[in-house]
Amino acid sequence: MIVALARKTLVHEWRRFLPAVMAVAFSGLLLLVQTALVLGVFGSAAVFIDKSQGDLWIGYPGTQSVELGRALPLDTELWLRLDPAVARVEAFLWTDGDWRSHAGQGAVSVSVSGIAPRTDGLLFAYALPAELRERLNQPDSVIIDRADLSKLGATVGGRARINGRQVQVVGVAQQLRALGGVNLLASLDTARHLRDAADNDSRMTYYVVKLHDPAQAEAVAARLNVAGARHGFQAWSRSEFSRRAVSFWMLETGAGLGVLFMSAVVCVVGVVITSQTLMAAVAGSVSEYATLHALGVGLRELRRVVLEQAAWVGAGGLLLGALGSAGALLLARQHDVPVALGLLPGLACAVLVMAISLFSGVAAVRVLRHADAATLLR
Amino acid sequence: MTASPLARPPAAVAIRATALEKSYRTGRVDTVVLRGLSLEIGLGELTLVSGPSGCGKSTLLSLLGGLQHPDAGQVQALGVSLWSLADKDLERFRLEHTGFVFQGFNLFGALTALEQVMLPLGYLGLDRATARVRAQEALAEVDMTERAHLRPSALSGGEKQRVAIARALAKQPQLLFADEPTSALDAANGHRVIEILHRIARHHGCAVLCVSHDPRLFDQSDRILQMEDGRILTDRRQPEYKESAA
Repeated sequence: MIVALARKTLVHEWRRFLPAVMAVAFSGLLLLVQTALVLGVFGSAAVFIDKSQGDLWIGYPGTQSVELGRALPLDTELWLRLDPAVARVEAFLWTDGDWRSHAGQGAVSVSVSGIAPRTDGLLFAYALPAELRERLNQPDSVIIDRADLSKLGATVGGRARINGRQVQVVGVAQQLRALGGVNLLASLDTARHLRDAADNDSRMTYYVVKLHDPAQAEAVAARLNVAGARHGFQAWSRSEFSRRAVSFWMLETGAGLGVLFMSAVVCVVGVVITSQTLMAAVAGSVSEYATLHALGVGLRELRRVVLEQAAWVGAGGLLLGALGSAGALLLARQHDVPVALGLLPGLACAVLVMAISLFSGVAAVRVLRHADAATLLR
Repeated sequence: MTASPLARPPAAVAIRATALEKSYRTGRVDTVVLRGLSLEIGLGELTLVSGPSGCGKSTLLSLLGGLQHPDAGQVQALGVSLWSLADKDLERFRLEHTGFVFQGFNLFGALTALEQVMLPLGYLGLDRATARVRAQEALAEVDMTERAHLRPSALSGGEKQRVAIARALAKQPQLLFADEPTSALDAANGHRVIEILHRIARHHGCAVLCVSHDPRLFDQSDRILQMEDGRILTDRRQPEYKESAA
């Protein structure tokens, strides 16, 4: 190629290609933000698991997601401790409650997570600094998510009632917000007291197990499940239980399917708008291309020019879209909107956006094929 | 060149078309554009096809130029039966042997005059330096050397058409087709363009087929074919045309 037709045309007639670049940028933005939201929202279904250490989760057989846990038999912990691969067992008590911040205000349903308040606790190890966790040693103290403060009408140091029992808010944490309501953290003792105020049951909901060798997680889970089948519990590796929770919310609930459906629509809209604008941009030069074709330049060579343009448009749009997404995700973070975007999903989105551009380029080439010389050449 | 008041003898045949038929279908109506048309186009002369609009002259050009398939009939160009070639070979034939000039110039807005002319040469397989020299020669031939660095937006209509002619000429084709090349131009520029086309036929020995309803071009052509209703009505040769400033 002795004349860089594709690039020169892009630079000189950038106004003509700008709508296509913007279309790519916005479909990229939509895709990236949508993906981050899906991952964030449904990832938060597994927030308890992902924010905790430990290699295995032990729960009621068949439990689909953390908040659906049921009380385990009292001897469960014993069976766990019998396995030589187990290094530590930590109990987790999940209980529901009615929160009233002051007289006259309606109740808010809350979930209370009772955990061991020791500084090296496994549960919520990634969400709670040791100092904050220690505050739970104070009887009847709770920690709430920053984002739930106003909903609960709470302040740090303020008091409220759960199931009629007075508690004090001793701190706020971040990113504890999960799907399906307000989550509070409390010590196991506090959580037990709160539950006793409603009913009398001393059974735990989960146990989190730390192994001597984390690589053995799958094998130990299989071994424990043999005992569990007889004694009424089931073991999952941490990542398996996390996936289980996410896929339950994503695929088994109406909200999850709704969001997935919306993502698919976003994708289709992106493809259609991008290809239409790119085709319009190419169609602007169609009589010039037809002249080249008349002069004997093959359709294959012309297609290469158009695809090169599509690739540049895609790259430019992707860059703009990525910048826009970064801004949008930053804004979301600041407002405690659950978003999460890893390298791999981000790359997948980028590949998809480039594919949309190139696909549109291919579609635009069809304009060339059909608009044949004789009609255009005037 | 010896000037003779007599008509030039028929030139060596560049294109021979036999029994060309073409019709278009719009909705349920078939419109017949060419009805069994046969003709020969000679090398080294400018042949003008004239006639009212809709008489089929542009269709004839695109059939002879290998742009459009006839419904029936044959086109032999430079001894090759065009419509027996595969699409790719036909593209190659056009690349190597034909040039086109159109009413609308069809220049790329982003390229300078020099780049417009160099562009098709790249596809012929020429290297950059050779292509540049050839493009410069072609631009010199249409008197555009001084304006070679300009983009179409900075050129007048006549200048654009001269660049388009240079683009067709630089490939050194034996067949040059021009479809209404002067329609968008004023008298002076139109005159200049047809003169250039005529000179190309003479100096390069190529067959120039020009389609136009512009009567101003008649006395500058070697041969005039008058078309109507898909047929050739008259075929007359002009007394030899004298180049104004050869």
